[in-house]
Amino acid sequence: MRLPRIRIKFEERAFPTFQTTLLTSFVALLIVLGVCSVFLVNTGVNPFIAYYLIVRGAFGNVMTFAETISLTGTLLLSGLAVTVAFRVGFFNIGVEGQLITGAIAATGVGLALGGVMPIFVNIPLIILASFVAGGLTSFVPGAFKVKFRANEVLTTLMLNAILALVLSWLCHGPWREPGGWPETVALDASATLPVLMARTRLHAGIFIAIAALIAVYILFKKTTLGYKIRAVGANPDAAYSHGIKRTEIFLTAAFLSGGLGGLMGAIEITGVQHYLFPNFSLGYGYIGVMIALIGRLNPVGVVIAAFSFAALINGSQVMQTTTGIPFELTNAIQAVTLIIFTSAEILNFYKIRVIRK
Amino acid sequence: MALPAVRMTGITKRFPGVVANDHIDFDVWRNKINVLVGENAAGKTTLMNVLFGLYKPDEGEILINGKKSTLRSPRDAINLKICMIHQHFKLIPAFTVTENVALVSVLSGKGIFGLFKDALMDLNAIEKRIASLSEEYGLKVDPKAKIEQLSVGEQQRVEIIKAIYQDVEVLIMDEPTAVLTPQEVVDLFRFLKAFGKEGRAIVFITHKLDEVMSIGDIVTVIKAGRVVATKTTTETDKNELARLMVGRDVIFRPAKGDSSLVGNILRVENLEALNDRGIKALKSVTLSIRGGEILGIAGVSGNGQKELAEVIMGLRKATKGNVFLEDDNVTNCPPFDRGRIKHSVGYIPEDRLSRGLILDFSIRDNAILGSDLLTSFTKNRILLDYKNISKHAKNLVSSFDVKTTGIEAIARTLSGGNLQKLILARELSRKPRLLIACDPTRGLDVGATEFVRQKLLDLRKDGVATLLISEDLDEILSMSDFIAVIFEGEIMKILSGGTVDIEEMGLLMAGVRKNSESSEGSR
Repeated sequence: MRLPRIRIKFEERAFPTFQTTLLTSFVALLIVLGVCSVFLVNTGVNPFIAYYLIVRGAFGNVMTFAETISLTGTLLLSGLAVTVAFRVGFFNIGVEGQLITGAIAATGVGLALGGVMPIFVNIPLIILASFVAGGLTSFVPGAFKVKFRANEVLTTLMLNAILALVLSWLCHGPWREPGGWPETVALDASATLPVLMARTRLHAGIFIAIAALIAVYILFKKTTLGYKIRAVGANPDAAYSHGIKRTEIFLTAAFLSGGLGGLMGAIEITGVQHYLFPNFSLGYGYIGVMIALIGRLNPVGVVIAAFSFAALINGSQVMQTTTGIPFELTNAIQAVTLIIFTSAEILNFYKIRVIRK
Repeated sequence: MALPAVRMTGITKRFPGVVANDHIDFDVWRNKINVLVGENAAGKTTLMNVLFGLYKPDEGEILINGKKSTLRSPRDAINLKICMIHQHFKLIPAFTVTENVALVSVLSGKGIFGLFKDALMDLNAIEKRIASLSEEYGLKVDPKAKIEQLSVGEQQRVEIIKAIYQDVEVLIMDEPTAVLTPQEVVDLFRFLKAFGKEGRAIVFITHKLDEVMSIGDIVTVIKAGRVVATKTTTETDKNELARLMVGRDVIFRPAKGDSSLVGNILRVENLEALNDRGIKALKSVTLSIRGGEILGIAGVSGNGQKELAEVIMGLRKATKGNVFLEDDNVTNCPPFDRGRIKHSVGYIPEDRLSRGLILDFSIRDNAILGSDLLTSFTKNRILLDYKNISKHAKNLVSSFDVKTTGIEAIARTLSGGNLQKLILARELSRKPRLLIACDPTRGLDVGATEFVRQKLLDLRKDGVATLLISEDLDEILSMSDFIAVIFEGEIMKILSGGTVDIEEMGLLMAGVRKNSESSEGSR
């Protein structure tokens, strides 16, 4: 008997279709489960139980589900910040730094006005201050790029390190709780975001994230500014040739991007932590880059990516503490998931044809 | 009859969505100049890229000297003594002529050991060989010059020498005359005729029928990926070839008709500007265009045409002189500033893919590219009025017959001709008083070219002033009321469009003034 000889051929396609996206995601999921099973079996953990724990950890009960939604809000802002920046061609890797300055600004306003002014004054001021602080943090590397052609990947990344040290200095120095740990005193209740659901940490920050999502969606879909941002990002020369002020637009987008990063800092402090301390951020600013890219710089895609990441992070944490597998292994599982899904994503841009010879 | 040097049979090459070559049979004969002629995008270059090993054909086979051959890469082709000179030269600008030629000897070895074969290059020997080849074939070139210092014509000679150095037997030239001055074309043709007689075969790709008749021995007409005819040039003529190429008789000269002239729309006085390398690209350029007039700029590309258009548009700084739109001085105003919107200027940039539109945008978004258009399509300066924008985009598409699946289609999916139509449609929708058109028909097929030219003439009738910059002399000659010949940034002379002495124009383009041979003569 002769086996049919076949050849597999990849053909580029301009746009992925919905069906293939669904199919590749499903296949990617199967591969992820398979690969991770090897890890888990190796450490003596039943993979089925582990996966069950991840799902339960992300959605198992009201509390964990609230936690996932809350984290989704944070990651959503991070992804949106990166989306706005990348759309204009500003490779902002500094969302982490913008998150820090946003958090510092929010804490500053909160410490100054908490208990002095009512909540409906404090919260808008906190939002505004953190947006401006984050915006400026990103505006500066943007201006350096325009003025001196400084590579923003480097400048924003370096700024992250500097700002982490500024944060640490604030917590060890001027803002340190007298006689306490290197951290600030807790914010007054009038300077924190209300909790939405009793006995959970789900806070009003999710509304801020949703508002930001709607704003970014409208920005790109409906507004002149969004059009100009897309034009400058897609082809700065063409935009300039047609009278679009590319420097102005570039810096505006850089500011807006940083502002969204700053908001993330505000909700993290006033919604989750309620006081400022070094290392309060778990690298959420960096995850935004992945979320934005997996979401294809499209607000709707970013929501899905942010939710998936939140579920994966929370779920695998619960799984780790329950099964007692090494912490590194959860990181490995997250990384494998990411790699396989991003690889599968590339497949969406190809048609696969099987040719029988 | 002897075997052909190359016999391609049933060559089929598909790209997503198109069949570029559809079962093409093509023979390349020795001692002959084999011309491949066809409209743009007919599949000529694709076919030769297959022969040169750049593309793998989906079907069909290639016999070289009667032997079946598979070409996996250009290196295979070069080893079989097949060389291709592309439209865009493959030279390293920072290297000297000798170093560029030396590269091929490094690369032509087989396998990994080939890399070491010529590890110690004797550049002096190569230089001597270049000098002797250049002497022997009348290809003037300085082996010590860096490529970036050479004119396009000289670079082409370097490419040819590279091919001879590799002992080429089948030389493929892809539209070699597109960038040459008339005199350089004559030189090239003389060389090709002599070179092709020595048992070698030459494949000459073109879409210019004059060239086919003056140089070709055998002509193969390709239309939409298929061979429609193969004839010797003695048994055919230009009109027949034109019919074969486009499937109908082409109107070569559009009827111009009268137009009523109105005052100066554009006036440029003593304009000077630098090019991207900081070298003076415009030298005291003075010209003016009245409404209802087309001023053609004739010149070999790279003589300041691009810079002139950019300075007028405010995209490049004028170092001296003034630009007036009617009576307003708009020198060095940013693009599409208030002054220009008032006077309304349409602009078809030279590089339409990088400046004319945004390839990643939909047709609808491209339809409003421009600060003035954006302002007129907003509801309240913040939100865009997409209902009207869609209407506007549909109008552009239908009135200019842009072939597309719809206004949501991404510009990248359109063909070059349709992109150009889209740009033109958008620019004309501004109701311009002045149109700056750089190579408006480059890369378009005959039908689209005719369409675009007719539109330009319609504008002329409506009193629009047009600055027509084009590499295509036929276009300049047939469209312009006046022709300004530019050479090294200087307007050599302004000729009246109706009564142009072609020879004089050719000489002016090469920097020679007919009546004052003494002063500005040589290059």
